Amino acid sequence: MAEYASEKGVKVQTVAGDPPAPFEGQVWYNSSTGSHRVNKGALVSAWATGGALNTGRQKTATAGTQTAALTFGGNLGVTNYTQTESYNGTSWTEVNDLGTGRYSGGAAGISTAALYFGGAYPFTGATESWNGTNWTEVNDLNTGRYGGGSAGTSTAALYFGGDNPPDSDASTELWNGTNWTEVNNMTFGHIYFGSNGTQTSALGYGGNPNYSQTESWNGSNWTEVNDLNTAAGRQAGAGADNTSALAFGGIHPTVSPPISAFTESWNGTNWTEVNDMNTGRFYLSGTGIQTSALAVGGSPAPINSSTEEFSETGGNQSVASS
Amino acid sequence: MAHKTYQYCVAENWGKGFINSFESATIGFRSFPGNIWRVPANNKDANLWINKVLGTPKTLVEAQAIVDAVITPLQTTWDNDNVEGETSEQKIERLGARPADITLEE
Repeated sequence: MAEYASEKGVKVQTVAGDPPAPFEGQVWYNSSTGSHRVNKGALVSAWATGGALNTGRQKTATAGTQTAALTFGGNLGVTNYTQTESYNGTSWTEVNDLGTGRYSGGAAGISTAALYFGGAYPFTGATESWNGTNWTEVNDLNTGRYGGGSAGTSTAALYFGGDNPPDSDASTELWNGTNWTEVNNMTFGHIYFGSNGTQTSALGYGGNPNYSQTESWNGSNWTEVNDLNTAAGRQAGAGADNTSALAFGGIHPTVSPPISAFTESWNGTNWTEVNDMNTGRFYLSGTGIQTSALAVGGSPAPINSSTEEFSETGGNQSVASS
Repeated sequence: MAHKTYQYCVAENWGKGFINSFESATIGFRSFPGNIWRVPANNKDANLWINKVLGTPKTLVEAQAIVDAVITPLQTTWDNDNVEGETSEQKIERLGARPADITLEE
């Protein structure tokens, strides 16, 4: 404090929260969070191109962060892929394959400890666990299905919604590291929708053919919350929990062009449109958090191998303690 | 003479660094089949980006021809890929939706 005052001529102001309109470079102490904060200029959120996949495909599942991710499975045409690729923030490296090639399953975990569950075709409840080197088959879902939403870690995961033909499925299953257990259903039966979060705090949004509904999971029940601004299906999502999320891509049949590059950000209450992806795509997968997300593959050809990275710069940020 | 809103170029997305966050936020990209990229016309940042990626400028007509040359064979392949007894919904689930025509804007 004394150093700051002697250098800047003023003391660091204490604010219960963040000041309403800080100027660039302003520093304050946020008494609510107990952290020093700084304004780093106008908040800019944008997508940049990321490293290209070695095997271009759609409907993969992805776990991890923007700079340490794992993508697995997927399909193109009638080919189901077993391929698994690891991302270091710059390039993708092929690692050991899945036991069963399939697409549109759920993903949980990080790049060194992941879980892949469900998928198609044929519709399956197969679950595989990644230990950083190999996949191992573990206990199946109770209801085999594909296109559901997923959240959590490799030892505490959640799979919700999806399709178990002929009908979409609203069921929710919880993974405890050994077995799947059925818990309370979603309000709607969503398929091919965006999702993110943890086993106790998750969010599901949009879905085929063209939904805008958003549902929030508190560890026990699903509650419908505010809709996306633009209804879409086959999109992806990222985010830490049910209070922060990013929805991106998909197909919105009522908007031209129908292949979506739209990106929306969730603050726990409402969705806000932010900058579009550089390339519209659907059947993509996503991982990361609201302010640092990764979009992987998708369709239409030839964008199947391309990836994009979302980041936010500027705005109010916490200052690391020295 | 009509005022051009957009300009087009061909450039191959090499991955990381092809479009950075600043360029994405300030330019506003749209990509099309055939490595066609649409950026604003008469825009300094867009022109700098085309130079950076060694993009080859294309007229609207040239860009449209490149897009069509990719889309038309995909549509033909989709149309000819049929399984006896399969419904249209099942075909879409198997192959994805039929590739749509794309019309570029001036």
